[in-house]
Amino acid sequence: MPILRLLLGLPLGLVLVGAVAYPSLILVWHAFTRDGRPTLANLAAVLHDADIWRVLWNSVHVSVWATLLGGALGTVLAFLVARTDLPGQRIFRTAEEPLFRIYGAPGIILVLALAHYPLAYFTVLASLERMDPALEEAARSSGASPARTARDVTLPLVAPAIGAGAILVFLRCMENFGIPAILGFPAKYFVLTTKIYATILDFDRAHNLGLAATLSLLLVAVAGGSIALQRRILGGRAYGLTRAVGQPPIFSLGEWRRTVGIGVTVFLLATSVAPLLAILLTALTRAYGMPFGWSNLGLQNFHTLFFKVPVVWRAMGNSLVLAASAATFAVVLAILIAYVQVRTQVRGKGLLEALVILPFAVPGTVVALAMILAFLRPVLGLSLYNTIWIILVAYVARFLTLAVKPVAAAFTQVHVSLEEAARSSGASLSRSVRDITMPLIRPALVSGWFLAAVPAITELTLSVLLWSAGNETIGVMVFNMHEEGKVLLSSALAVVVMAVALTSNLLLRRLTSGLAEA
Amino acid sequence: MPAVELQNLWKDFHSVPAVCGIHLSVEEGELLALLGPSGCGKTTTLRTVAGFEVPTAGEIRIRGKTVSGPGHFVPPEARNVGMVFQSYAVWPHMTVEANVAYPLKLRGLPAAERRERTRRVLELVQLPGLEFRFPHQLSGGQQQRVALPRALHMEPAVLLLDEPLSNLDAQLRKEMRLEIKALQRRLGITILYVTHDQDEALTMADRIAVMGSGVIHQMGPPEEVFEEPADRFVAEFMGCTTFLPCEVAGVNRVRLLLGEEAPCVACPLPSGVSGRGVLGIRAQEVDLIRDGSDALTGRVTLRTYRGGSFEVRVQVGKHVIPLITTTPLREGDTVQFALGPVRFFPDVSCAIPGEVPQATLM
Repeated sequence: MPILRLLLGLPLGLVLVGAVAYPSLILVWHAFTRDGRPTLANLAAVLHDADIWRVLWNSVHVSVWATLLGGALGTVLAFLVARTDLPGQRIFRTAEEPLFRIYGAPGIILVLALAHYPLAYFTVLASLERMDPALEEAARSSGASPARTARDVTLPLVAPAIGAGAILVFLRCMENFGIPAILGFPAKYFVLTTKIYATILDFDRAHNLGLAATLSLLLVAVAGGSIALQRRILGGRAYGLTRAVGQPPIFSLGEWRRTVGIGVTVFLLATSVAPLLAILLTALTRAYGMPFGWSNLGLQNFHTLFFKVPVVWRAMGNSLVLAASAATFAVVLAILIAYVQVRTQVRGKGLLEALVILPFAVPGTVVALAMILAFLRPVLGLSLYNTIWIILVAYVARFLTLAVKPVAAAFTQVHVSLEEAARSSGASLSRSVRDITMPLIRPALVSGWFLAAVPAITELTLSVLLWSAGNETIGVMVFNMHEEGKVLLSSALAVVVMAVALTSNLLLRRLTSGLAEA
Repeated sequence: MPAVELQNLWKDFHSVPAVCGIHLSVEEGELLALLGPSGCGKTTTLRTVAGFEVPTAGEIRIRGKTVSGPGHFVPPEARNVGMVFQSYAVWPHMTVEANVAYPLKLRGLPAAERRERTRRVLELVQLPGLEFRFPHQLSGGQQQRVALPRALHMEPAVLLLDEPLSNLDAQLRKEMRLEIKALQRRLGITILYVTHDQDEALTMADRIAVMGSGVIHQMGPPEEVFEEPADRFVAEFMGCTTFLPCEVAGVNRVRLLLGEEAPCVACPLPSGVSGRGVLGIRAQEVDLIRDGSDALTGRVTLRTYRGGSFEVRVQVGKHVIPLITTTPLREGDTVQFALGPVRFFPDVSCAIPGEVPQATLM
C-alpha cells in the first residue's frame, strides 16, 4: 500500500529529520568549522583554555560527589525499605524534587544529590524486589547469619543495580542545568551545562556558537561514555533475577527499629517537605530581610504577581499551550512510530529508534544549542528563531520518546490477531483500526500525552536558551526573576509552578494506576 | 526419637489460617511426603520447619530439640536443616563449586577439605567436571543437581524439599524421582518432601500426609492412602475421578441412585453406617463383564484412544462412568460392567474443604 506508506512515512520523516537529525548534524558541523571551512580550531581553543578544563573538572567534581552521596543515600534507603522491618515502609515510596538555596560547589553537590538520589533508590529497590527470596533463604538454611547473608548473597546480587543507579545519578548531575545555574551563577561557579549557556549568550566572543557546540560534544561524549559503561555493567553482570512467589527475608533492626524509622522520616521530611515549605514561606513573606513572624506574612507577592506583572499570565499561557501542543504532536507521532516499530518489518527501525531517543538522551542544553544553530537562519523559507515555534519543535523532539514508550507497549500487547479477527469478520483495515485497535490503545495514548506534557509545563533548560520577548515560559520567568533578585516574586511563581506540577503528577499517577488495573 | 516433630502447629497470615493445628512426625531415615493442592498449607508447614515462618502456635522439635515453641525461636541458620527450593535458588554470582561449598565454608572447614568433599558430593549427583561453571551455563536439571548437594552435604538433621521437581520436564522429573529416592536410601537421609503431584508422592514416599485447607486428612504408607482413602478429598487426590450418589442398602451393600435405575452393588462398609453418600470410582478399576450379580448396564457415548487401550464414557441414567478397556467398543454400544473396588463416603465427608487463596499462604 504505497499511499499508506507515504501517509505514515512523510510526517515521521519530516519531524525526525527536521527536528532531530538536521539539528544534530548542524551542531557537529559548527563544532568543526569556522566560517564554513572545516577546522579543528574550536576544539583546539577549547582544549587550550584553562578555564574550560576547570569547568570540566567542576562538572566531574560536583557530579562524582553528588553521585557518591546520592547513590549511598538511595542504596541504604532501598535496603531499609525492601529488606528490613522498618516501620511505615509504604510511605517511603515517593520522593519529590527538593530545591535549596545554598550557593557554590558544596550547595550544588548537596542539592544535586538530594534531587537525584531517588534514581539510585528506585533502581536498587527494583532489583531487591525482583530477587527470588529463596536465594537469601538458601543462605540462611546453609547456616549464614542475616548479616552474612546480606554480605555474601544480597549485596553481590544487587551490585550491578547499585552501579547502574549510580551512573544514572551521575548522568543526570552532569546534564542538570537549573541547579548549577541557580546556585553557581552568584558564586561564579560554572559547570559544563552552565558554561555552554554562558558561551552561547557571550555575543562579544568570536566564534562563541562554535565553541559552545564543541563544549556540547564534550558533554555528550562524557554522557555517552557513562551510558556505555552502564550498558556494560548491566549487560555483563545482570543476573536475570526473576521474581518468585514469597516474601523476602526480613533483616530485623531489633532495638534500632524505632530510631532508624524516625531518622528516615526526618531525612525525607527535611529533603522533600522542608524545601517546599521554605519556598512557600518565602512566597508569603511581605518584606525580604525583615524578621520572620505572622505580621510579615501575607498574600501580597501573589497579588503583585497576578495583577501587577502581566508577563506572568502570558508565560503561564505559553507554557500550558506549549505543553499541550507538544504532547498532542508527540502522541500523534508516537502512534506512527509505535506502529512502525511493532507492526512492520521495514529496514532502518534501529535508526528510527535512535532518532527518537537521541534528544532525550543528550543533555537539554545541547538540544537547545542544536535548535539555535539549526534555525538561526530561515530554513526552507520558515523563520523559527525568536518565535515560540522553535520552543515547540524542541519540546516535541525532547519529549517524544516519553509518549512513544506507553504507546509502543500498548501495540505490543494488542496482538495483531485481534485486528485480523476483525478483518476476517468483514471489517476494512481502517474500520478494524477504529473499532479494535484504537479503543484498546486509548489508555496508553492518554498516559503518553500526560507523560510528555507534565515535564514540558515546568521545563527550564530548553526554554531558557530559546525564549524571546513575548515567548517566555513559566520556568524562564522563575529563573529570570531570581536572577534579577526578585526572590519573593520568583518564589511565589515557583509555588504556582509546583502546584501545577503536583496536580498534573497526581493526575498522571491516577491515570497510570488505572491503566495497571486494566 | 523422631527426626522432626510438629505438635499442634498453627500458622495464620493476617488472621487467615493456613495451617490449623497439625501433628506430624518424621522418623530418622524416612521420606515423608506432604501432598496437597496449592494453597493447602503444605509449603507453609515446610517453611515453619525451616525457620522462615514463625508459627502462630504449637511446637516444632528437630532431633528432640525445640526449635520453635512458645517464646522460643531458633533462626534458620542455627537449625541444621537443608532446604531445596522450587526455584533451586542457586546463587548466580557463584560457581557450582562455590555454591556447593558455601555451607562448609560457613562451618569453617579448611579449603582443602571443602574442595574434596565438594568433589565427592558432585560425583554423587553425577555432576563432576562442572565445578567452575556458573549457574547460567547449566540446564534446569543441572541446577537442581547443584541445589541438592548444597543442602545435603552439611549432613542436616532433615532435608526439606519444596516441590523440587516441578520446574523440570516430564522425562527428567521421572529420572530425578528415582535418583533422589536412591540417594535417600543409600545415605539414610531424613526427608520432608512437599509436592502437589500424587505420582511423585506415591513413588517416592515412605509415608504420605495428604493435606487440605491446613489440616492433614490422612497419613500413612502410599499403598494405604491409595487403596483406602479416608475421605472424599483424599480419594479425589488419589485418582478417583467419578463419584456416584448412593445409599446404604444392607450389610456391605449400597444402592446406586442413578435416576430411574437403582442397582445394588457390593461395597465394604464400616459397621453402623447408614444413610446416603457417594461411591468413589477410578476409571482403571471399572471392568467390562458379560454377566454377573453386580453388573451395571449402560450406553457408550464417547470413545477415545489412549495408546494401547480406549477410554470409554458409559452413560447410566443421568450419570457418566468412565472406564478403560482394550475392547474396541463403538459409540452407541450397550455394555455391561462392574465397578471393581469401590469406596463409600457418607454424606458428612462429601464436602470438599474450601481452598484458601494461594496469595495469602505463600
